This record gives sequence, C-alpha cells and structure tokens, in this order.
Amino acid sequence: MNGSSRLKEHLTNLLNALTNLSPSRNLISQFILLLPKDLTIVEHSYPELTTAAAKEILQLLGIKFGDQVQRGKGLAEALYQHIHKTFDWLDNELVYRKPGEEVKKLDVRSELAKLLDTDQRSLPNPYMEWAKLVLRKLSNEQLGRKAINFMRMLLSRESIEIYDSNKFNMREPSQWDTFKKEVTEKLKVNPAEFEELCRLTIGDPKLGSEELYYTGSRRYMESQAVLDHSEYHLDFVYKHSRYLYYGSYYGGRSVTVHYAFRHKETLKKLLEGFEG
Amino acid sequence: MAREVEEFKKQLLNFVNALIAISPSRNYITQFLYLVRINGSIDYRIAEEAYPDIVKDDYTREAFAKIFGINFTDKISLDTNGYGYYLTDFINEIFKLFENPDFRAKVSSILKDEFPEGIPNLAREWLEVRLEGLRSEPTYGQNSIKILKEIVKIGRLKVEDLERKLNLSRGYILQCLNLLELYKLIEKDYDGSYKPSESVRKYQDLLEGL
Repeated sequence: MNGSSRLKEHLTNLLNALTNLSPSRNLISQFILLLPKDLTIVEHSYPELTTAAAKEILQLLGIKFGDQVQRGKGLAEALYQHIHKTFDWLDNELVYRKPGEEVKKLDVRSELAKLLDTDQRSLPNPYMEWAKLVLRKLSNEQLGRKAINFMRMLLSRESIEIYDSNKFNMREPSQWDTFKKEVTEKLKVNPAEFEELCRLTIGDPKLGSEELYYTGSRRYMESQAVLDHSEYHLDFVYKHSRYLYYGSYYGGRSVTVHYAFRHKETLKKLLEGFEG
Repeated sequence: MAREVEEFKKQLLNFVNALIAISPSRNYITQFLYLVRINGSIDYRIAEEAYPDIVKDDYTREAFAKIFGINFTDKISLDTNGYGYYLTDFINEIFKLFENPDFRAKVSSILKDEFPEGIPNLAREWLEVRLEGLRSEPTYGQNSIKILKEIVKIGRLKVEDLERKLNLSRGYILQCLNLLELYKLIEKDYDGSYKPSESVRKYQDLLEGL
C-alpha cells in the first residue's frame, strides 16, 4: 500500500466513524444531543434507552436520570460539543480565525474531495442528514408546517436587524417588528405560536448559548456572534452584534444587533423538497 | 422488551465501533493530530520523518492545514479554533471512557459476541502503539526502550545517572530522551530529572514484553 492510498483509507475511516456518531445515524448520539428531557418523554420516545442495562451504560457516559434526564460531565457533554463541531465542519460552516486575520469559513468539503479523489456530493454531510430528519418530522405536525414556512421566510433575508441603540428612542419599528407582523399575517400564527416557532428555529436560551466568534479584543470588541441552541439543534440563526466606540472605550459605544444565518445553502436546498 | 434490548445492542455496537475507529491507536490521521496536540507543537523535521504521507507532499500538507486547522512552520501545531483541536479534545474523553473498567465490563457483557475478548482499553492501546513506534525507530529506538526501563525501575533519573548506568554518550542519551518526551513516555521534572509519564506508570507491564 503506498502512502497516498493509506492516507485515503484512514481519512475515509475517520469520516465514516465521525458520521456514524452523528444523531441521524445513532440513537445514543441523538439522545445525547436532544437532552435535557423529562423522564416521561424519554420513556415514551426512547424505550430502547430506558431498559436497566441501557441506563447503566448511559450513566457511565455521563447522563443523569431523574425526573429530568440531563447531560452531565463526561463523554456525553464532550460528544454534544463534538456533534456541533462536526455539523459545522462538514457543512463548511466552522468559523476559523487566526489572530490578526479576518473571520472566515474554510471550504473543507472541496479540500476533502480533492484529497479523496471524489465528488464533494459523495462526502457525508451529518448536518444535512440531521436537518432532513428534523424537517421530515416537522412536516408531519401542524405547527411544524408553519415552522417550515417560517424558516423559508427567515432564510429569504440576508439578515434581520433586531436592535439599534441609536434608534432606541425613535419609536420606529425595527426590521424584526416588521418581520414579526408579516409572519403573523402570512402564517396566521398567534403570539404563543410565534414564540414557539422562535424556540424551534431561532433558539431557546434554556438550551444554552455558544459564542461563535468575536472580533477586536475582549475589551474593545468590534463584533460578536452568539448562537442560542434551538429545540432540534438546527442552529442556523445567530445574533450578530456590531459595536461602535465614541473615541475611547470610556466615551461609550453604540450597538446594532442582527439575526444572521448559517447553513443557509444546505437548508434552502432541503426546504425545496418540503411542503409548507 | 426483547426488541428494545436488541435495538440498544445494535446502537451500542455502532457507537462503540465509531469511538474505537477514532482512537489514535487505530487511525493514522488522529494519531498525527493527537501527537501534535499532546506536545503543543512538534518539530517539522521529526513529523516529516514520522508522518511522511501527511507532511512531505506540499499538496496534502496544505489540504490538511485547511481541513484540520494545522500550522505548518518549523514547528507544527494545532489552531485552537480548528477542527483538529476540537477532535483531539474529544479523543481525551474517549480515552477516559475506555479506561473506565466499569464501562468496559458492562459494554463487554452486552457485546460479548462482537468482542469475545472484551472491548479494548484504548488508553492502554495508545501506549502500546507509542512503545511500538519508539522501538521501531532505527537509530535510537532500542536504547530509548532501555532508558525508559531504567527510569521506570528507579522512579526518576538524571542524564548523568543514565550515562553512568548505560555507558552511552551524553549526546546520544539526550536524543533518546527527546524521543521519549515526544511520545509522552517520560516527563522532565523541575530538578532536571526524568520520571515515567502517568500512562507508563499505570501500564508498566507493557514494558516487560519489550
């Protein structure tokens, strides 16, 4: 076996192993990703994982069983983080920033395809697989169909401004207010349903946040991107804040906050195949 | 209930097989990444000799730099926001899990047909691979093993002690110690003496077979 074929073999094995750990391929990974959940829901939705033997193993992975089933420290938490990184990595969304350089996303898929001498489309894409499963599930639910249309409406925009400190006193509706009005009318959703759509797609602060990146320094931050994880972890909406300083740090600063989108192309392509 | 038990077994097998396949003891790429990670950085020259498939070819090296977030200069290191860094974090947790005898015993009892000898202790296996890698190094390998055995026997030794005991030149001993440090088989203490690493202390029996 020459060097190059050994490398291809090991790279293929690694990609296969990483993909097999993704939530669309493995129930244990899926379970870990979607925690915390009420025990009654877990017993109903995952009967395979609540037998005595299964519970013993899951506890050793770091899962805590009580009235609520939660991820504790250990492999479960590490896998949770790892699933998100692999989602982003194999969907060209992993944010990469070297000190002094601009924030960028690397085209990992084309590099992998070249190394493996294969077409990019034949490479695994765990995020796409998972999103397909989630959309299929949503498309069978009443609010789910509205969620699919809500996602379409979000993704048709470049970004949506939600706050601008300069306009704070102007009583002018923000882009988000306008968007909300449009959604309410078009999808005929009540305020409670709108909140639920946001929890399903934009993020649920109870599921934790993650800083994707920041620019500038911690003291003089120029911009910051923060993601709230959403119910099924499609995690395609993040908050992007841009800061403008008046002279020095002590002179104060203004801030504008937008909802911005990632995994956009993948989701747009997938959404074409679903009825809303 | 039987269906649930069977389904869990199937899922567990896939899960465990995937974790095993990522281990640096089984995969050339994670082995390279993990060795870079545990050392902070490694000399380009050493990596070129040990991992020629990745480092020697310009095209492959540049692709790896982008895919895994690796810096290739005179030293090779991982970017803290690159996938290689995240992956090696995850590998640390895999090692901890497979080192847990309870986990191995419970999984082995469920997957006894698939793993008749029990599921492997990947941390121990990683040490075996490093010792094997060291032994096969043509110039310093054999004597590095001798030095390691001597350090394990006494507990900690300085270069002067090794010179006296093994009758080897100081320069040669220093090269062997560099190699032992690269594989994280020994640690240099504040007083300049060398002691076995934690994994060597834990799995000393592996040295006896060498």
